[in-house]
Amino acid sequence: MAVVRARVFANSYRDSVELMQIAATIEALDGIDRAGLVMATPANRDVLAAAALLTDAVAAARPNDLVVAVRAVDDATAEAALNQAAARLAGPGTEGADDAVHTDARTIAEAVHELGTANFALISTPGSYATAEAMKALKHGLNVFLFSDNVPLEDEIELKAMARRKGLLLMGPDCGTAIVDGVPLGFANAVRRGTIGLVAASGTGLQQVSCLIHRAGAGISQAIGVGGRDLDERVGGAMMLDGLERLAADPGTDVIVLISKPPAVCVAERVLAAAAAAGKPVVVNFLGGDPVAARSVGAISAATFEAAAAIASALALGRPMPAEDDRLDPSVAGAVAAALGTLRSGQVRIRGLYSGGSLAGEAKLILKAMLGADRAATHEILDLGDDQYTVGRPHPMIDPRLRNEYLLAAALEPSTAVILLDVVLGYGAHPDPAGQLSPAIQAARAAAAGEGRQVAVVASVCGTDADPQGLAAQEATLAAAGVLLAPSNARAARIAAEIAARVVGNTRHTADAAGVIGTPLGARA
Amino acid sequence: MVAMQSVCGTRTYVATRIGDSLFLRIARDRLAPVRVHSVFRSLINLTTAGELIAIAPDEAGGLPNGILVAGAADFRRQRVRAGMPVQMDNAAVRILDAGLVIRLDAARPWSARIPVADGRHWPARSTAVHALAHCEARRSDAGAAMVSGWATAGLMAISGTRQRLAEVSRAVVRADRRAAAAAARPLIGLGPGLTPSGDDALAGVEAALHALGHPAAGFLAMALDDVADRTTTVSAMLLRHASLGEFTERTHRLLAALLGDNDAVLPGAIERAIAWGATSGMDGLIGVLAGLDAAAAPGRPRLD
Repeated sequence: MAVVRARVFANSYRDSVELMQIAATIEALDGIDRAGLVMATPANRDVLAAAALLTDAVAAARPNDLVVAVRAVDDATAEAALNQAAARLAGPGTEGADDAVHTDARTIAEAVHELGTANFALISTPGSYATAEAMKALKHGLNVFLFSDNVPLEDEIELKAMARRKGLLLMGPDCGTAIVDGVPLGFANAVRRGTIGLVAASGTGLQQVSCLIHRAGAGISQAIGVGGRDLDERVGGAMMLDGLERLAADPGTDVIVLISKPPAVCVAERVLAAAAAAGKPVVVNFLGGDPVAARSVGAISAATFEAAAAIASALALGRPMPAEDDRLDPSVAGAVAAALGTLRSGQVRIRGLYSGGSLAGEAKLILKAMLGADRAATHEILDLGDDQYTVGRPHPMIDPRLRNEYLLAAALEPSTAVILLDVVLGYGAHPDPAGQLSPAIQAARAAAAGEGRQVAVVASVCGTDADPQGLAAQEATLAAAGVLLAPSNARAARIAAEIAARVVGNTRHTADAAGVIGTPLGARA
Repeated sequence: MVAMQSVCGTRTYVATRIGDSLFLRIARDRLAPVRVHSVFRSLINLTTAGELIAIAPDEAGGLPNGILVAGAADFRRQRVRAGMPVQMDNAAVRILDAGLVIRLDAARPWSARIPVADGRHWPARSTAVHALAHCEARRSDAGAAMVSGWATAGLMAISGTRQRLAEVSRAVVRADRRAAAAAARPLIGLGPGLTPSGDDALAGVEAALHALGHPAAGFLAMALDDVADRTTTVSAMLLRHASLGEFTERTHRLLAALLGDNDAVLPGAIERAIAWGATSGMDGLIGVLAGLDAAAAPGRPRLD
């Protein structure tokens, strides 16, 4: 039979953060069904009474008294919980042992002082303050994950030079994701730990590769984000070089993957030289870059995120290298044919509405490779996470409303044949992106149907079964909304290109140097 | 500049700013006997004749009835304890039992009165700000706590509070101060925290109304007759100051950001607002947004 016990601490003044921490600790104890830790104001006494936590002592308490009340399985459990609360309240405050994790420090110096052994800082302030905070962190010997954007390039150069001098990592600025020693930072996915190390100047590129590695059965040792400008000529690839050196020296890393847009030529030379000296297999995934240069130094070139993940997984797991297979998945061929059958004359365009910038970039490259540059330019691939769309709004990976608006507009545009989407899961992303997207997709298709048209919707989900949102559940939600699903962004883009190409029935043959991104469609028609 | 010095075992702080009404009273030596009321890591509350005087580091920002001191401080490590006697005149605050002296001679007065701003941008950005606040709340400790037990959660985790706050808003829309005060009464002292969540939210509503020069501003004064019996001493002070249009500098900055015309500052302003305290920041922001929306609602009586 449950018991209710309470203790009153007269004229007890502790700050709210402490009170919340103590309450959370007590609530989490085994055998505690309900706990309340509040100031004994009349309104709070009413709430305690409604929760059946009011005792005589609490009823007689005054507003400046602190009350701890619990409902527990038995007396002993209740008393133990109250004693624990009393011990915390009798202590010196937030200077207890738990502070190693839960410090209320308000400056980096205070945090370093209080934590003692800290070696890592995550900085997410408005850009105008970020440089100063990052500099302070570096001066205190901390590696830095710099989530902030709008940091001037000159500041980035200075910060990275300082980090290199001190032997520290500076990830960012505008670093959206990383996985350090198994701890996901920013918009990271829940992936298996393993022996593949990533260094990426591309947020959703890193996410896509790490998710596909997880799905292939391999895992990630470290995933280091370096910020989108790291391979700019002026920054010189400072942190990609640093990350590469660290992974080369890391006994837990067997295979290294480098992910970026094509670097400046001189930077590429430096990075490839370092890759050649790494002493481990290095997969170079410079989207749209020259595969010959990578191969010339003994690295392995991968043209898409999917290819990079497949090659790295095969190397890590000791499996045969994957064939360069970019054919349309037979399982979707029927759906593609069905979609084609519903399109009317004039429906010729692909409209890509992306939340991930790197995924949008990959889609553009695939369209270009499959349709030719001129034809590809007639389609529209938007990165709705770009600054121009996010001023005063949350990123579309967090808040789906902006994309939902574009979705409706795209469906109502008479020339739209295919809407191409990415859905990014993981920590920090919306808790149910597919659940938000599906009604918008259905509404958009209904709106188009109202004007006598059908629109094909093609998507891929960047995520894993271990992500908080669950890959299977998200894909099921999208499938139920009639979305044509692909297992990767590259494959989704190929499906869209295939539909667009067949609609016009006049594909161009383009010879991609790697032959991996997209085989000319006419070759297998 | 190093503002803290240790001299012969006495720790000396230099005050930088003092709330203007307190500044005047100190200048005129009109303070009753003072004692230490409560001590936190970065805050000492002194009590004198039923009111509180706050002492905090300068980086905390201006406080109504507050004295700000230069440099970082951890008052609990300096042996300051509740109940200690305090000597206070226009030259210094001295807590001699703890060897603590705060020099007042270089301090400037600071006005806690929130400036009246132009609210014309608010209706167009209200939705976006709510979305930002929602997203930021999901990332914060307080937001996370909202999905756990009510004891650790903020205002909106307590059954019925949304409706009560909505009643306050409806009364504000009608500029009915008496009805707003009546609707506010059940929220006073309600919720977790040293300043209970309901109090933080009501102070937020008042901040919005005072910042817009709304005719319902000050409605709380009609709900505070027995406030000392209904909430904590610290919170009672918060509500009294709020009813007079006096707020922390943090609140000034939040309202300036929300009512200004620079969208780029909004995410940072909301992030900082929510990060304050355990649930106080979020609860205060809930109140501010409710107040701004109510003040901007169609049907609001115009002043002109």
